[in-house]
Amino acid sequence: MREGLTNLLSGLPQWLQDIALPVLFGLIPAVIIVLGVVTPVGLVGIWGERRIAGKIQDRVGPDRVGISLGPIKSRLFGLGQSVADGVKLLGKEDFIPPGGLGLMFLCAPLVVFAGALALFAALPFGPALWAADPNLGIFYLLSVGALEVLGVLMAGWSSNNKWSLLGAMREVAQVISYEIPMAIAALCPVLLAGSMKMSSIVADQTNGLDLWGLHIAAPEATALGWNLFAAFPFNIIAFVVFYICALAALKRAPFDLPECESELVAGFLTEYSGMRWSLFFLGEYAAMWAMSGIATVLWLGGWTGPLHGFLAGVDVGPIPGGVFFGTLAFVVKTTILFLLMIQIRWTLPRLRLDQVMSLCYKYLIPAAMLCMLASGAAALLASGGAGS
Amino acid sequence: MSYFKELWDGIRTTAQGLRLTGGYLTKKGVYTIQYPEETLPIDKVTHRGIHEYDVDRCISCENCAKACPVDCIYIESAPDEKGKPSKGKAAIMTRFDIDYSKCLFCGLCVPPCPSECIQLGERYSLPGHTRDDMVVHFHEGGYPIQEKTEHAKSMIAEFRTENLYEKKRKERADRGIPTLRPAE
Repeated sequence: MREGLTNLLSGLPQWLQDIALPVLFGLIPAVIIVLGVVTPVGLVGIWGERRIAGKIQDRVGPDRVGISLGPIKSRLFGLGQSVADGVKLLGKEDFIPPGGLGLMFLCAPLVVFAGALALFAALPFGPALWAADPNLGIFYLLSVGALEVLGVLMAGWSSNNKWSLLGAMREVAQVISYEIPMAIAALCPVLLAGSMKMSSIVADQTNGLDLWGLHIAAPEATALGWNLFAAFPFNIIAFVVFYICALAALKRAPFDLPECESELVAGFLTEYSGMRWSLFFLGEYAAMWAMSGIATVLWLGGWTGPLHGFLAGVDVGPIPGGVFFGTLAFVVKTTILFLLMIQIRWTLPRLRLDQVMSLCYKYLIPAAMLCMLASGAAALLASGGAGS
Repeated sequence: MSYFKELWDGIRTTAQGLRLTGGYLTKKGVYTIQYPEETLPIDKVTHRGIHEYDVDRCISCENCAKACPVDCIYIESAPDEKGKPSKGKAAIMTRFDIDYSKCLFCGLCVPPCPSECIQLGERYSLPGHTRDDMVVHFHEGGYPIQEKTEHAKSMIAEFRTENLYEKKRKERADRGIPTLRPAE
């Protein structure tokens, strides 16, 4: 399709082609990703969070806003709630705190949202279903995921508000600390696959169990090839470490110190209102899903596994079965991790700042390093020892 | 060794918490009810809600307004032949308002009533946007006749035999006071 469009445009003057090609192949797909993937993930995620919170607290949650189109009337379990809230937020005053740094204040939510959005660029949804598959895929994802800190610091600093600044300082201290064990834990699958490319890491998880030099061949459908079971039990620990670090990096409870309501009003969000506030939220939920996706790719086999292994040959209409069931498997696994994040939020109370720090430096970093060491040893044994 | 004990405690308590919330997640039904569609039953003996008032039986004695500790009952009746406000069985009420932004539902208005035409009922919902919405115009009707005590029953029977209900209703209609309650 790309060649066809390029040929079609070749009749135009060169300067017009220089503008048209990036727009066609860069901007329009980006807009489609925002409108088609990130925004629905955010909206449905917020609704899901509120419903699950309601269920855990033995109440109903939002269940009223549905559709009413003539004879078609349905509450749709309140799925329209996020849309209704969005419309309400559009009508709010776009407040800029006087005495703050205006431009920085306006840009901060965009930086946070862009960071969350960029995560989706290198996320492999299914076989050959990705926007980009760079050689340094996981490196790119971890770096871009850290962009959020910058946005939060900008927001806190420019708000001219002590609560905001305190929240931003906590965020920076927390996220920078948790990036260390996160990156070390993410190195375990990289060592096992011998590659940072997301598609290679997934492909490495299809050929059976590697157990300390002992290779047990098993079909893909048994899911034994997943990195979760490699170098048993160290990659299970690495997965848990990564997941905890993802919670902290996304400032989800119990690590929601940057915005903790009981002490800091709303932390860095205090001065925000309307659409800028909701951009932070959309970004948070999109990043939650993307982080769950990264954990899925690294340890839970990405799109491979029972669903893809058994049903890859069954085509669904024009869509090849491999793509359909692969994507379905990825979405299911990622959504389960996403829902677990929500359950954790409504289960655990918020940690103190010193507890957050000691958890990271005293427990997670040593655990992650141990796992990396074990994964390296397992990879070395699997490849037949040093020098081979 | 406290290092590993703390680690184990963290894992154990987290698992305990997740098991608890997971139990609520899989539990069927919820504790709360969907209020406008469902309501909780009320205790008919002790519940004190919005008043029930029988405009036809009211004799405009104003005992309830005098008893009211917050003065939230406003009573006016149409003038009789002598030009004074009508009293007794022939009284035609032109105003019987209760301001529920003041009312404290103490029930002190109920015992002084000689004709037993006022009591605290079961209704409790009175949403509104303004303070004026909190004032209920009882003289316009809309509330059931009470037949709770023998005294009230005998009075109702007396009013029926003397055809007072119909007479008063007709007179109110002549004076342009709306009667929202359907005819018996």
